[in-house]
Amino acid sequence: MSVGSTPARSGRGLAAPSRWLPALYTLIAAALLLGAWQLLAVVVHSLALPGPLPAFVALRRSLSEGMPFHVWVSTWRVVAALVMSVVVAVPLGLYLGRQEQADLVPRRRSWLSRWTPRLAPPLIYLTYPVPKVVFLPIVMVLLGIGDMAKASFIALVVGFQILVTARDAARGVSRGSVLSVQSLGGTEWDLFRHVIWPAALPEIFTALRNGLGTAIAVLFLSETFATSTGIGYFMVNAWSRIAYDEMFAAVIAMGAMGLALYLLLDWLEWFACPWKRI
Amino acid sequence: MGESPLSMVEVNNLGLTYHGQAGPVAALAGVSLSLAPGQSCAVIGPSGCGKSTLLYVLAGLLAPGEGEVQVAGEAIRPRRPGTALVLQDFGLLPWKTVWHNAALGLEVRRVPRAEQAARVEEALRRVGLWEVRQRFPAQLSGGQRQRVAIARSLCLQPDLLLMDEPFSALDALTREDLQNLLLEAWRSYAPTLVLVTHSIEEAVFLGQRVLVLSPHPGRVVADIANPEAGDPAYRRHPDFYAQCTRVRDALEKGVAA
Repeated sequence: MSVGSTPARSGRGLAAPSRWLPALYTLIAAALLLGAWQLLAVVVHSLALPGPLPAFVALRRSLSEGMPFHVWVSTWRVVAALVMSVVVAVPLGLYLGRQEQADLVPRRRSWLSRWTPRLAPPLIYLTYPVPKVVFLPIVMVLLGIGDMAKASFIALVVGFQILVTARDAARGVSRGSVLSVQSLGGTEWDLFRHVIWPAALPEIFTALRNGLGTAIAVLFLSETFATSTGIGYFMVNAWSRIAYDEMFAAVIAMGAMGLALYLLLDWLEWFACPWKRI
Repeated sequence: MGESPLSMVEVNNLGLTYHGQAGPVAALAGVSLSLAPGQSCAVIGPSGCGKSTLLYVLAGLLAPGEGEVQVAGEAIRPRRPGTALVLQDFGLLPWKTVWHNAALGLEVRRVPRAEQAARVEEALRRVGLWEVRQRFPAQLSGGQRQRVAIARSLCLQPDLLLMDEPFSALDALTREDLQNLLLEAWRSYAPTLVLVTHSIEEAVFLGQRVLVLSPHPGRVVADIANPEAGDPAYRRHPDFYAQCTRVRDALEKGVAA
């Protein structure tokens, strides 16, 4: 059967190594990074910059001295923040983007649908450049200093980026795809379900990966005061005790947390966007 | 539905003007057309003659500016269940498999799952794509993509099938192949067919009537009876070429006017 089958795999010599070569390259890259760190530590020769070896020794010690709890708290704050920003910013962004679209065959618009594309772009334009981190004191006054307050603060910063990405992705959906569903008698909800959402999904994942880096940075900021939990607190605490090796152990733990979440996002995208795999 | 109406498509003095940023653009003016159930009609004209606009009006996507348009004895409305429109660029969604792309019309029209499955299978087998139903559009050839679009409209079991330059993006042999496939489907399901094209041969091969439009705005310059269309052997018949010449003359007259 030639119809259903894919072309035969090319020779073994080509197909087999590609499985483990990327892993090998990753190992080489990690070794290069550690080497550069060691070199820098030797050159700087300061207590404030220990080499990788003392840092990993401190990491092993910290793992049995309460660090897993701090990592767990921080992970939960970041994940809650990302979930919150997705739940709020993605539907809103997709709606705004859809309203800014002009169809090949003009659609009937409600009052809301006519005014949204007029006011939303300048509103976003005016608020986008404002650094959202400056609202930390206000968030703390209004929402307190609990986990949800920290997650909300991170979500405020990351959600805005996701909102803009979702909006742009929805606006950029091909008019042909829109017309395709409209011509079959689809409603706006059908359009959202069958076209806007799947078309924007890969870009939302990209925004999430970018947002993850921002989220961890903001997490650190929010954990540096008025708290005694989280990896950011652990780091600042080690700093005040001049335990630089423990500080760097926290850096490694934070990096590992980021990497794990990054891989999780990759896996989710692989799972959710099968058409991108071909 | 009661007895079938005498006329499936009734267009009276249709005019439509787009109001764009560059001012009003007249797309159609004074177009009249009457089609009996099961009849096929090819609409041909140069670009800018409002061919697609005419289809969008018949599909209920655009409201007529002037004049009157009826389908199956009723004023046109969006989402008429018996109308299917095949778009120029096939209208496939890259994130849906062949099966889900074919099922999209049924899904949107809230047809029950079991019936969807049965109708999609029949349509995909008919167009020869059942084996590749799990693939995505990016994994298909141009001809296969067009087959998916045809399957999508066939499973709606339409009584009015509208096609917007369906085969223009295909190479010559694939195109003839698909014209034959369409002809076969048309003969067995007998929908009223309105096919927009810019190919003279395609219009004469598929349209029992050939409607020739002039550009800016689209007006009917000729309505040529072409009763032999629908016979797969017509393509090689001497009459076929005589009809092609007649359509060509009308087209040139329309552009010059």
